[in-house]
Amino acid sequence: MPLKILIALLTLIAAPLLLLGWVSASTMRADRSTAQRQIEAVLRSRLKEIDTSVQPLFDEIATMLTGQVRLAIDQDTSSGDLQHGELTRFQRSQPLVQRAIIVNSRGMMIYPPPPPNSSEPNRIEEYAALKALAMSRPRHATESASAQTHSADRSKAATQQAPIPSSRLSAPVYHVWYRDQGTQLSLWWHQESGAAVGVMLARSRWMAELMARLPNTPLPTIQLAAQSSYKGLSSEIRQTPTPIEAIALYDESNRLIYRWGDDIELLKTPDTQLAMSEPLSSWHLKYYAAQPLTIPVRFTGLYAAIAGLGIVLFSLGAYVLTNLQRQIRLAKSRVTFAGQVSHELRTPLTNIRLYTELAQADLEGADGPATQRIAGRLSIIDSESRRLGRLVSGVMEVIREDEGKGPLRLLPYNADAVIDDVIQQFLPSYEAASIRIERIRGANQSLVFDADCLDMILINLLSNIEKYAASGGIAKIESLVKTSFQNEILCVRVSDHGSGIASRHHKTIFKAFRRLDDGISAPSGTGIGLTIARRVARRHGGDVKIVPSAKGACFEVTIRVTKANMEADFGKPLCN
Amino acid sequence: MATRKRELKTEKRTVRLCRWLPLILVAAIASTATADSGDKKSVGQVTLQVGTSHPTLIADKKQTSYVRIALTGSEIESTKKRPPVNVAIVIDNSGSMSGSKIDQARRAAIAAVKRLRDDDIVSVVLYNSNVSVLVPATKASDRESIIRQIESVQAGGSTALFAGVSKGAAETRKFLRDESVNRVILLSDGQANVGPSSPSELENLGASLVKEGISVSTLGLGLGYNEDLMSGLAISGSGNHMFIEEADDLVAVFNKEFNDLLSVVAGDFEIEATLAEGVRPVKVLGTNADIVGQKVFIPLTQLYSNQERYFVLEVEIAAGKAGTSRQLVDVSVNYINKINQTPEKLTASLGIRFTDDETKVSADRDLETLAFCSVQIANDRNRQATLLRDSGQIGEAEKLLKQNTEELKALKIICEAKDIKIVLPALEVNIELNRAQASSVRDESKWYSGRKMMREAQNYNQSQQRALPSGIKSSPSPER
Repeated sequence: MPLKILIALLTLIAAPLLLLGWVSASTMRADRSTAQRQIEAVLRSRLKEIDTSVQPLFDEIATMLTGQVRLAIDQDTSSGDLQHGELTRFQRSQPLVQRAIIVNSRGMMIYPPPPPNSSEPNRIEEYAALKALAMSRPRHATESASAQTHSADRSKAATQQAPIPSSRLSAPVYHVWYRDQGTQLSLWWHQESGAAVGVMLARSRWMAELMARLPNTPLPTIQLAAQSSYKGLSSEIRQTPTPIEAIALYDESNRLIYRWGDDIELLKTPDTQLAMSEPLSSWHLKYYAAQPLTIPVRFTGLYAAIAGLGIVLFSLGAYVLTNLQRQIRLAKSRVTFAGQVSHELRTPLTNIRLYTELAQADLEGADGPATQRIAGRLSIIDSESRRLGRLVSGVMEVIREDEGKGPLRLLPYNADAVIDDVIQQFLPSYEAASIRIERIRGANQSLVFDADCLDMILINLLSNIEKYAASGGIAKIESLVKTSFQNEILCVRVSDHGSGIASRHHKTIFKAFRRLDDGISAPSGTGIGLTIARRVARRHGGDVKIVPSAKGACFEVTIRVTKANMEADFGKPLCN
Repeated sequence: MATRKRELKTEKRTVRLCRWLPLILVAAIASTATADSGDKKSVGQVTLQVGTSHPTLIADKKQTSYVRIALTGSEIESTKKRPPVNVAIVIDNSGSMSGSKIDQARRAAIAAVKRLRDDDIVSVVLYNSNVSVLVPATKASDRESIIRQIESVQAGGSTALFAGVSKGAAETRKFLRDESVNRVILLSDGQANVGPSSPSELENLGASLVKEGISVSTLGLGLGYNEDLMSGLAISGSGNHMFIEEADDLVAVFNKEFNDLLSVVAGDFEIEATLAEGVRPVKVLGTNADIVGQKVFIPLTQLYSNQERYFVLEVEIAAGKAGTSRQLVDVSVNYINKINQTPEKLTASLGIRFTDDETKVSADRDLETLAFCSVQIANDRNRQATLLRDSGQIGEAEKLLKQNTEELKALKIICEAKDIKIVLPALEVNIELNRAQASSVRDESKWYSGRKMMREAQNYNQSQQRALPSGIKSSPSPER
């Protein structure tokens, strides 16, 4: 019993703790991922801001070069310079420009002119590269269509060479090309005829401009140091604060181009990254935090809460357990005490009955009114002491759960005679309560059973009628012998016409100390009668059940019996 | 160890010598300029001199010749105001700079700032893994606070060289004016390892900056820096490249760089050489010139006081008939006189003659031009030798260097015979340089510093460093 309680108690403690732990852990996880997402969103928006801040650079470059290219081309056109002197000048003096290119409407690169065959290999190589760039230039939407419609004009070679008036140039388009060190940007202006002017930007230059626009690394705040780091000069030492973050720009092949922020290793994967806008869409801005950005999960608080709750629950449990144990001990000792008392009561009771019987025997033969009176009183003593004996036996039956189950004293009796004997005992009190007894005998045969057991059962049932169903005015006792599964069953039905028992109480009435009416006005009783009856019957391989009846209550007692002639079964307990 | 130290010292002296010698050289030019050295024009601050190695060529034969275009800056009168300076000092404060290097760098920068006038612009950019603008471009009048800022510089981190230069240039650009001398001075002791870091990327950056009139000088400190990258940047950036082996020398070198910076007399050059029919431009030795058709455009950002810069143009001349003469080249030079802030223009042209007589060709040789051209040709070979040595072809590298030595020696003997003194120092320096390099090219232990010295010398030859003020003619006493 205490072990079960202990387990129950531990479950009681553990279950809420586990639940709490699980719930808070999952909540934390959810919180964490939400926070993570939020942080990433914030960081991404920061990167986006940086991207937005450098984006005007490319627009400015495009605008500025558009003006300069148009001017150069217009001047070349007006002066009829087929060598494109102004464009050459523009190419040479504009820091952002590596090379200018002109493609005619046939798609041929007419500027720069091809280098002489004997030129240095790198010049020839560069020319080939420019040609490839011109081939891969972004095409104007109308270009392919117009290339066909204008095919008639192509016979005039002169027009192919003529510089293109700038007024017919489209808005500039960025073109990304990968060569040499990596991304090369070029700007293209198209003409409807299919001719185009391109400018290959100086890669180092636009990278430098990009870097110049990206943030500097702020210097750590100056803190005055007492001692100079070198002699003669008082110096201020910059204290390096704990690093927080670094942002880096990577090119298309994931090479570091520029970084700012704190000086931390960029080996790990970035906390978040963002592709730059056009034209550098293959480049990435990456954010690195010095410490992992995940919100440090403070499990300590959770642990403390769980531990605190655990302690509270445990001490409560311990309190309950010790109290319970004390109660149990107390109850046990009471039961033991009651058992001992009952046991102790038996001996004087036996003596009282013995002497009562002796006194009755002494009176036999004597006559006279005094003797009659004494005999009457002796019979009352006898019946009361029997009743007391039954009570004691009942108590013993209830409290001595294990040890009370002594072996049955199985002897052959006439079952109806035994039943009649019990009824006999109740005649005086039934008469007083004006209860009529109806008796149907169906077990007038010799059966082997424990008569004391049957006695106890019937006495309880009959006394219940006397106490609770006297109003019905009738007590019906019906006995019969049934055979089921090779067993003989003695069945006694005790019914009354009292107020009956509501069906919802049918189960509980057999429980110990359960009384339907426990008020002060209720008839005296201990509330263990039916319990005793059922226990005894079960001990005897049978049962006491309440069976449905038209009026009042009807209890059916069954006990397993054997026929008296079956000698072989004698001495063998029917029930253990 | 001691031997190695001594050797290094010897080489260092050689390099030091070569750094100072051209000063003597140009001083000599100033005094002994002769009429036969081609067309010589001088207006205002700059003198233009165009010559060819072989004014008379053998007839009926296609041949290669060299044209030398020389520009000389005039002497600044001490009373005159020098042009304002707009300088960005870009300091590498990566981890490798810690200790005495960063200490010296601070001192050097402070010394430099102290030399500036109130109307000069200065900015200080620091770079390690990241780039910080220590002093945004500002007037040098607030010297105290600038110096205080510089004093607080500490070292640590990696080397984002490209970004450092970019930010330095951006600071310079804030106050970009035609009349001022705009320069980024980069100090580094390490390899660029954050961001773009190939020599070609930095060269392109330098070339782009030159287009808008910002020049880049690079100071390589110690043995750890990437000399190809640093010298490439300086060449394309039209600035100086210097190898500083000991941190202690830093202040002096920085001072020297500032001497240059503060003595600019002319800038924003547009040098245009138009070659006549039948003459094809091949290349400009050691310079990233733009050749379009018959025109050659040579970039040059500035010319210092008393500095001579010359460019050697290799041309291919079509066969000509004996007895005829032909136009060779027209040179026009536009620049801004930084002293009066006025644009000025110089022009010169040069012709050639054809003859059947081999002896006349030889007798007509312009030895002075030939010698300077030879120095440049040898310099080109010297570069090749570096490349060969890098790819492990030590024998070939040594061979080239020895060839240089021999050819220059032969030329020297002729020049001595003809008493053309002004070319002798340059020849001698290069003979000694090639000889020393030829001997060090095999020695693995000397190669680290040897290679850096080679790069410095190549860069130096290429940019024909500055001349001495006329007062100092010999036995230069270096400031260090």
